[in-house]
Amino acid sequence: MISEIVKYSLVLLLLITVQKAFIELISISEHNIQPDIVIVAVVYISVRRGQIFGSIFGFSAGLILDILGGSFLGLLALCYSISGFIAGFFSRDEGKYLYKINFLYVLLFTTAINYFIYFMVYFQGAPISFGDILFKFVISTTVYTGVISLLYVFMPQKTNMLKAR
Amino acid sequence: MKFFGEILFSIKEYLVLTLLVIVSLVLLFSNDNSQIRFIRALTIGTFGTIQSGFNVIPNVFDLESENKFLREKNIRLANELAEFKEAKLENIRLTKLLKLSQIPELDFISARIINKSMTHSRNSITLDRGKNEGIEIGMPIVTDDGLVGRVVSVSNNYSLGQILYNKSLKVSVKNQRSRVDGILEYDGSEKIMVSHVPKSSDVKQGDLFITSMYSNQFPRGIPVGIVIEEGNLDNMFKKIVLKPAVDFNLLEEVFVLKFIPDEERNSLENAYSEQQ
Repeated sequence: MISEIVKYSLVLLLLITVQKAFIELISISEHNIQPDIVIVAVVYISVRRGQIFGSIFGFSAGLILDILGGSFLGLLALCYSISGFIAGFFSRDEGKYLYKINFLYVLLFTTAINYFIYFMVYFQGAPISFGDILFKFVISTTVYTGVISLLYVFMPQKTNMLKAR
Repeated sequence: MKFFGEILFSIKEYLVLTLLVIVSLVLLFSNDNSQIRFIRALTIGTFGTIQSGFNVIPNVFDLESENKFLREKNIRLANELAEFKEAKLENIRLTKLLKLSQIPELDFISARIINKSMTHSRNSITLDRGKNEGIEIGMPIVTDDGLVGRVVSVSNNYSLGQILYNKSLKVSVKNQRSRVDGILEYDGSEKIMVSHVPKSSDVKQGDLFITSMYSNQFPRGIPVGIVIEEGNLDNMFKKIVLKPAVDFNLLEEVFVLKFIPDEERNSLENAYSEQQ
């Protein structure tokens, strides 16, 4: 149990470092679109270990990203906690949602909700329409995150960590 | 008691989520707290060390174009310098004539950007200079082109700056030609706009906006941006969109001005606002 917590924490810290240091290289800055690789890990942990694990790891990862982000402190922590909780619902089906395309569905669903809450709060009071928030930010970020997660989803079975389950 | 415990156990997931949501909301509502600033500075310091480690790898693909760009800019600046020297001498003569007080020369600290975020809420830059070099919260960040932003968090060796593309940053600006005042703010998507400008004001495309003398956050006269779109927002105000003087995509080196907002003035103005 403790070794698993340490393992997940290290993976999250590594992904947060990559997200902050390198993800800019593959972001489409012209349209403000950036994939979120941290949420892939949060969803994985939630589906594998349940809602409590997912919420706590989501909160921790979101809080670190908030601190490093220089914007609203607590906003990503709030969104990732809720995302971890929602993704945790899919842990009840004996690992069915940890595999391949099922995982992708859960990821897309959770990421869409995560960024819907995030951008609705972030753009509060800004002169931007609901449609713009939905299409330019929520859906674009969700789709790009989904595309990046294909690297994991279609990882060969021999090296896929999920197989160890 | 046992029954009560069983109920709590059965809803433990919801209890954890509720607790985390409450903590998040408390953090959201106490964003300017001094303890939170300290934690932020500590984390940025640690993370900055990691980032500066990766930063030693040069981008060889950019070197040739960067050299060409710098040589051209050097020639242009040499010409401008000669013109500015003439202009400064003329300015001194005219200032003496008008008996105006001179703006004190500001000292600055040069810094390299070790992390830059230009998407969503991550519109900030991390600099490789911090408290040890004399950087403090609130100091303006500029380049030779114009205003970049201001420092919002500092650790011993690193600092974090909000840039113009950050919703939290608002700047008091003035049209250099017509002297019309306004407030510069980022709309959160793509545009930097000047608000609170009456519809009847004289603003044209191509006008330069500079930092205003009414600002206590920035020294006056720093170029901010050029008007690229001008129209009516509603019956009372103009809609003015600026192209920033600084190209944030090419930004690598900046200067932090040793200009600290006047606390006494802030306190006085805040106290008056609260009375109203």
